[in-house]
Amino acid sequence: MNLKLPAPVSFAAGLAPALAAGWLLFPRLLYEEVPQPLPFSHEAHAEAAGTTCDGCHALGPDGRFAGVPRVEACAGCHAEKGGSPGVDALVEGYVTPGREVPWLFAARQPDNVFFPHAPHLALAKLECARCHGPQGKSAEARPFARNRISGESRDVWGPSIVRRKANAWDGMKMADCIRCHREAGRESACLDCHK
Amino acid sequence: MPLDLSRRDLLLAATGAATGAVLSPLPWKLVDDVAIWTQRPATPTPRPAGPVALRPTTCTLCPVACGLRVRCFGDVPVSVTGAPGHPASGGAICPLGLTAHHLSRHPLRARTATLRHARGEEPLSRDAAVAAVGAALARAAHAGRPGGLLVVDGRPGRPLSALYRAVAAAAGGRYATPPRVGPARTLAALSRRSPEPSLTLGVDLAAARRVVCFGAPLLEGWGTPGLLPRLRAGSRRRPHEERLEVVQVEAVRSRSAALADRWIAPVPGSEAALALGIARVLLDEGLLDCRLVESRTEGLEGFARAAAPFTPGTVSSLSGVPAATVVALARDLAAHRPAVVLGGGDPAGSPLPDETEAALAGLNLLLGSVGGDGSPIVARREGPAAPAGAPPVELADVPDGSVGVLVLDGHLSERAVPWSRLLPLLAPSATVVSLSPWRGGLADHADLHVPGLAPLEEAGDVPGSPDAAAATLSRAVALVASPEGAVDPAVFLKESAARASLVLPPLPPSAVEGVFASRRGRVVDGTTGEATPVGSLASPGALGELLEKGGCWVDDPAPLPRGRLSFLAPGETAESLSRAALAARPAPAAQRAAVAREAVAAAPPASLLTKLTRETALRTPPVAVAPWRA
Repeated sequence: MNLKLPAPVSFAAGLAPALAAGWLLFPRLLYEEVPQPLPFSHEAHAEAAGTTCDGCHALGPDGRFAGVPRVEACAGCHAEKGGSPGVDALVEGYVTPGREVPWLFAARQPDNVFFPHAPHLALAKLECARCHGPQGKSAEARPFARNRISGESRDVWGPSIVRRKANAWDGMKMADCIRCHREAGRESACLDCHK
Repeated sequence: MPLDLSRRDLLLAATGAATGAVLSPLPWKLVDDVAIWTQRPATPTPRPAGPVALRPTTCTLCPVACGLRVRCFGDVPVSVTGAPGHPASGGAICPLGLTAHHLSRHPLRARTATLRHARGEEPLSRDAAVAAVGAALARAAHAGRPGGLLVVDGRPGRPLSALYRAVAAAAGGRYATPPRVGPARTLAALSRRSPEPSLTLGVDLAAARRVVCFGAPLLEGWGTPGLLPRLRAGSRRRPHEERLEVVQVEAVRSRSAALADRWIAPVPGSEAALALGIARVLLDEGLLDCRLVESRTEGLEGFARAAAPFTPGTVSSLSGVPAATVVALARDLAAHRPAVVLGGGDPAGSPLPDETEAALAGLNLLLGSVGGDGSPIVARREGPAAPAGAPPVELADVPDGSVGVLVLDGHLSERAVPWSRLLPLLAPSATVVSLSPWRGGLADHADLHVPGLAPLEEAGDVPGSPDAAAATLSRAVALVASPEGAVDPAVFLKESAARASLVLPPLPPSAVEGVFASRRGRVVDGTTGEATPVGSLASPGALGELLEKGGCWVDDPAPLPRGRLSFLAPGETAESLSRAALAARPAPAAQRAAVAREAVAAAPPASLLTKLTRETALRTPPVAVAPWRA
């Protein structure tokens, strides 16, 4: 006599793998980790060297955000090898030949978004950590988590695959911008960000 | 015990899998990640770099010459806005001007000189183009007339226009300008009524409380962008009686008609009758400022005779406009002076007939709209460019088949001069040279297309609109590199003339030197609005420096016209005027039905729609290449 499966069991036999694939396997497969070109400790620079965020990531005189400092800024302190393998690699690979470090920017928005740092810093007086989290205290540079489909950073979507926000800085999607703007009473138009 | 898997089990498992997938983030995240692909251009846009600067310049897209502020990253312009204090534009620019920095990369931008012949097209080097145009000029100079040179200037009054005239004079040819259209024809009709033959008039809409447009697109494109809507919106803050209102008289519900405060739709061709009907009501009801009319005009009796047949009832039967509307409009204009009446065109886009313009001119004189203190139509001086070289002629005065070489200015549009108007002028073996920066339009009919400079590519002094209340002069700065094959028309023409061994007459002094020598007017800073009198400047160089920094020279107000304006211009009679107006007959029922359908179909345009319409206006079909003239 053959064994016949009850209908709920057959249904569950399809449901369970699909749920597992969707919740467990898919998030792992979706992102690939790309190492940064150099090890970097924000903590060391902030505490040991006494540098603040705007010491390296400042607004320029023209109001534009300078972003990641150019290699000349690094050369100000790291002109010669010594101290750590990371510094040696920096000097040898980038400072001496005058080549920019190809950092991978976890917080970069897609090209269809225009995000100006200047009004958020100068007018809204937001702290860097409001959007970037405790990056300034990290002991090592996180690998860049690249979405294999969109090519964007995982930080744009946020760490949770269902976008559950444990912290204010989890996620930099449009919904996050809108939520913050709504809270601040600064709702604006599409063309403000999508030029 | 063996497991018995049936098709039902498999279907249930598949349903479970589908349910599980839907209940997991997988499909939703996939949709989100794939969606970004729709936002990426096929060609990645390079990120601009360099210091940010706001550079002042002047738009050269149309004769208004709006002041621009171009935001540049390094040498790359990234956005264009209006200069807030610029006298010519008051901070406004049109949607096309907003995209001026993209126009040099427009798909229709011509990038190299092209020779067209029966076998097709072939690119030409710059030297070859100079040689070809030089040979054509030499041929034209040798042929004289007929078979000579005709230069058609799309925008007279520029420094390049002086060169056109010089080349035409050196080659024994002619220099022509396109016929005036729109409100300029009303101004020209009024100028003809002056004892001063050189009287030049301009429109100051800010002085008016009623603006009546007979087909002119005043609310959508004519003149300074957005000026009339802005003035109207500003007047809403004033008491009701002092507000500016726009009445559009047009057979079809154009955008201006939809945006106007009132729209009156006469039968096409009956505009003169309607204007004379309004005049008749003004005269019958004594709604004139008699003192004003007597002091500034003459010949009222003749005009009254011309208007006599046009009772409101007659006008109603001719134009389809209810008699009560005619009477109400006349009373409204009389009660809300200053009022101005401007002509435009008929529904087919043609200019209004001369008789209609004569009727509109008479109506303006009746309303006291011309030449007085606070009048909307004011006397102005010509721009600073001194005339020299071949005198301008009307295209209508050029005999058919008499042109051996036709040079078309880059700003000459096919709307201003259709190709069908130019073709009969050409001799059988004529050569047509176009200096347009764009493919399409008249350039597609040229044997030799030498692309000129697009907006933001060209540099030089830019005179303002000839219809403005005062002459202006500002300066364009080249902020975008032109394609390798494009030429500066002035340099190119000089080289070609030299190749043809033409001896150019001396060019007049530059516009800046002309302004400085006149010591008239003031230079207004385009950003702050601060004014510097020209008389306080030490040299033409100082004046040029102010213009380079975004200043705009504005001429002093001209003195009131001497003598009285006549209601009837030389050659006009009351009888001819009323005969022409009476000749209008109600359109056939089908035409009226078509007009009515269009009235229903045309919805008031949203501002975004207007913007899109204007932006796409340049996107003419790229494949519309005219056949080569065999």
